[in-house]
Amino acid sequence: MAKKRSARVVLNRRAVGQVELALADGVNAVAKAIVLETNAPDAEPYGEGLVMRGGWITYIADKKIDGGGTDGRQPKKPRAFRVRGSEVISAVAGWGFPAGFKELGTNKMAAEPFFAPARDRVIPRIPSIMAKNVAYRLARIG
Amino acid sequence: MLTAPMLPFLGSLIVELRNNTDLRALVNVRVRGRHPAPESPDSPGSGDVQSRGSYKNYVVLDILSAPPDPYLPVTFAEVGARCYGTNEEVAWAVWGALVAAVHDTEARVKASGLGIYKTKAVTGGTQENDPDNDQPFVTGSISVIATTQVVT
Repeated sequence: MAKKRSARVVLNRRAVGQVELALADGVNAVAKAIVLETNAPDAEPYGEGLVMRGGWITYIADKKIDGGGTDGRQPKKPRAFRVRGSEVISAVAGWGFPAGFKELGTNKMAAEPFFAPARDRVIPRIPSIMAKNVAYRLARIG
Repeated sequence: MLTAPMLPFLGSLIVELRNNTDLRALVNVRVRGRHPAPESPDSPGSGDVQSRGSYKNYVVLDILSAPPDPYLPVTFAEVGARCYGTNEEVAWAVWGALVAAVHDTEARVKASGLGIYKTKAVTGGTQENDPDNDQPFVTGSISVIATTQVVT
């Protein structure tokens, strides 16, 4: 079961506008859908595998407002995901090491793309995912 | 909508990159699809994959996704690229030459009738070492918008 949101995330969510939060929740739902849609190679039941942990995190500007992982833990923000000074809603979704090697291949192992196809399966559903999650949040504004 | 099998585009992209002057200066014709070139049993050291001290510069391209657009006879495809170098600086130079060759290119029609509307480097620049022989390489992905049918 996923852990509760941290106190920092709860405070961040209360500090932003409700409409902005609604949009961010929609973006977060898209990121989550991509990770959950992914069928990581060697994941059970096909084998023990190494690519085990997928996660997503969402920011409004430089404030984290949501996130999650397939193992119920919060993923660390990737170093390349720059949010300082940002003024937009941004989210990142992905799988942990050695997912990159699986996705793109190595000298001895051909690429086994699993994340790009999952992303492409979710893209056509983005409008419905966003609409559902944004509408939910907007309805609670009253 | 599709009256013929979806056209392949990776071969055309490989030929374009092999003919690019800057990239050719670094990797010669070692732009591969899916796998590095294997070692020939008659010619030791001929393969792309070598041990430390004998590294070669080369590029390997893989199609990550190439779905047909639901409304138009085009595909918005994504190609993964691994740019290997003899050291970290050269690997980066290979990546830089690849980006210059593919980023925001103009539309062109190949002799086969394949149309490539645009290619762009959309992600990448991640420096890594191959886990098999520790060779430095840079990864990235290229967006390719190409026709799925012959352009007339």
